[in-house]
Amino acid sequence: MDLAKIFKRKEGLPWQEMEELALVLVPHSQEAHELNETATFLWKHFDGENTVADILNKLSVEYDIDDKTAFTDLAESIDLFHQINLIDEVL
Amino acid sequence: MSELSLLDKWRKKSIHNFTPLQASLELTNRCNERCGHCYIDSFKDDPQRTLTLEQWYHILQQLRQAGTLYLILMGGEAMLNPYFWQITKKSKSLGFHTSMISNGLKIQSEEMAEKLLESGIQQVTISLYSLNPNIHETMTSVRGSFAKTMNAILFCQKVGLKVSVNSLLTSLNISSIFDLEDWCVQNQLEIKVDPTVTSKLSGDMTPTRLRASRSQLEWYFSERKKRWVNGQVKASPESSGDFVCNAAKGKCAVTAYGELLPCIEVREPMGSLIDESFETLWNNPSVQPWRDMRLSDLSRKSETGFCEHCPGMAKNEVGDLHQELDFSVMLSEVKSKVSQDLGE
Ligand SMILES: C[S@@+](CC[C@H](N)C(=O)[O-])C[C@H]1O[C@@H](n2cnc3c(N)ncnc32)[C@H](O)[C@@H]1O
Ligand code: SF4
Repeated sequence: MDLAKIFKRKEGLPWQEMEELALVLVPHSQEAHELNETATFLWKHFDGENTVADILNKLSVEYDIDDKTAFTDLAESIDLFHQINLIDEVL
Repeated sequence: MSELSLLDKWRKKSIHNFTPLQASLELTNRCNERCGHCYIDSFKDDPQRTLTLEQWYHILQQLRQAGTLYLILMGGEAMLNPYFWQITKKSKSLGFHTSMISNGLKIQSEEMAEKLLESGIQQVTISLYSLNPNIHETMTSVRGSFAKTMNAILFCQKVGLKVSVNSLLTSLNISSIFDLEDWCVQNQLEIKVDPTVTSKLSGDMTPTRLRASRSQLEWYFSERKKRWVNGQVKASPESSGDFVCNAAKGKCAVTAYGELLPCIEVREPMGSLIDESFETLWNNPSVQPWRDMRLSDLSRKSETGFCEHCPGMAKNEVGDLHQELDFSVMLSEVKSKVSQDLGE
């Protein structure tokens, strides 16, 4: 994955965090997703400014994991966020 | 997990954590209808106390930080707040799920409905009392309001807003209520019919004279049971931890002047969100009686499993949040009786 890529949360998706998990609503399809702790951490950092490299750094510090594990976690999460259509890539 | 069960899980979590997942904002006391049943005492705003746009923004930000996801805009008629559009846009940018309860009178074109959608309103609940224009307008005291409210529903549906209907059940509209329910079902509109007419916020009992009688309510709930597969009266979920209600736990409300309330029905302000932080007010010991109220604190007269007690309503009417009102007891008896009837 290109470390310079930037992702952002799709516009118009209401969300809230409680006890380190996030609930994300998709009003037009009336879906709701509960994110696990790591996905919630990433979700908050998909702010349209952090690059993948920035998020990788923060992820490995926050969860005290090595770069390789952080990379795998992040790549899998980005795939999942794309599948359920919650994030956009900033071009 | 389905959306509903996930939301239910979060609602329970919010009650347990004292996180105000839902907040109702009374954007103004002003209104363009004059409903005889309305609990609002005066449809005027005190110009000395109305909030500036910055003050509304400050309130929105505080609610967001406190954990609010669902924002319900109401009033009076929310769209009469001069900053309505800025407030909805801000709520969108802050990531709230924003809905509005409205009489629909200001939504008189597809463009207006589109503007609501674009500004961040995700759901509109329209108050409609009957499909008979005379009955609806007798309740709203505004000639022509029926056609306007119906237009609002159609425009909102047309642009893809999620629309639902609220109907207060009174002695005036009970005879035509099933026509309205049928029409809503045919038009994919969720409808909530509420038989509990509260007093005015000052305690003035005038609106309660419109409450349906015991025999009318028995008729209504029995008919419902016959008509709808899922029309059986359900026991109220005697909520987790034996709590009477959700006030000051998973929900809160804010008045047109920025006062924080435990719930829209509980009119004892916890303080001003303009003068103090949400956190300070939310943790104020004066809130505890509302937060702690359990079913076991009531000298219960209502039928087991059918508690209709609302502490805020009781406080307004008789000055005692623990006293079950005659109407609430009667409603619980009616529901219990109808649920046990085997029918013809
Ligand atoms: C106070 S109104 C404000 C929003 C808007 N003006 C409207 O009527 O939809 C909110 C809801 O409260 C209901 N309501 C008004 N007075 C009431 C009362 N005394 N008891 C119970 N519900 C009431 C209305 O029917 C409406 O659905
Ligand atoms: S439209 Fe709503 S706020 Fe206005 S008088 Fe009727 S119930 Fe009250």
